Amino acid sequence: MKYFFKTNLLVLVVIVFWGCGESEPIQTDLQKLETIAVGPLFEGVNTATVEFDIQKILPTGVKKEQLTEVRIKGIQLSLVNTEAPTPNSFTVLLASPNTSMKECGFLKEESIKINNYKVSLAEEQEFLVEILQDKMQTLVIDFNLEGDWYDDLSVTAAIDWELKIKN
Amino acid sequence: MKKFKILAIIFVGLFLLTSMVGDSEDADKLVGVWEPSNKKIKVKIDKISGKYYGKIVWLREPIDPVTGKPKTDKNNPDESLKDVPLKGFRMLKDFVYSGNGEWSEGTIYDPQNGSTYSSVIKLKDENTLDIRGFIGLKTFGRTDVWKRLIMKNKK
Repeated sequence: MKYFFKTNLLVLVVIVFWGCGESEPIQTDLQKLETIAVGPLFEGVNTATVEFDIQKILPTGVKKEQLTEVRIKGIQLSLVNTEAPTPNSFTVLLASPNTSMKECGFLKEESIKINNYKVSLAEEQEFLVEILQDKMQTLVIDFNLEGDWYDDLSVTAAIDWELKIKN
Repeated sequence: MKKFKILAIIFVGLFLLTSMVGDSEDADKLVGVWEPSNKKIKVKIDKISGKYYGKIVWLREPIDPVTGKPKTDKNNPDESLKDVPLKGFRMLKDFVYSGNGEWSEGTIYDPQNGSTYSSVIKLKDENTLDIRGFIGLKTFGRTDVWKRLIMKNKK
């Protein structure tokens, strides 16, 4: 009985120490994702999407389930086809099969007019851990077109992640 | 006897396949442009990675009378998202088809007060939806009737 108590105490201490461990940042490259809206596209709000797995950009030996803190430091958008009409607003969202879709940021007409495609980010980003730990992720970009476009339209998002794992 | 077993397996397989196709077709009946009873907005519902989402594609009053600019989601509880354009805003999220013309597990956002409610959608007929928003129990909520926007052919 005494032995049993000691073992349990030891396990508890190990769990507490593991839980209190500092999160360590990990280095990842800028993630470039090309979203596609299948044409023809008509004036108004359209959507470009792409599915991805964050695991592919994590360093070898690191699993997405280990992620404890996630923030987006920056998102830069760019249009692949320069002949396509320039949308006058963009909203960037992330979703996954077992979580709710969330707004990550947006771009307003004022920024687009001065060729600034740096997305204004959402302050609240706690939901990102759960999304990135899911089996796959979907990047959604909603954009507002002022005219029709009879082809596909691609928007590339370069995402700068700040990722931390627990050792 | 062996022949009978093979036939039975093929029959069951075909039955499952046709019922799955039927389910998927039923689920996609939600896709389209819909108008709530107050007719202030039009919402386009589309399917992304197996779930259904609705975004505002038209506003009866797109310009904010105070700022003179396109309306934004000024009631969003996240301060940093108050400037997100209302046109394009996803107010229906994460609906999953649960059979019998019903979509559940979703949420509906009310831009007028910045609140998000749990929601279920019921297809009453091809062009009519009952959308129920609730907090906690389904009993304590409100149902709105949405109509499908039907495109008229040009003559």
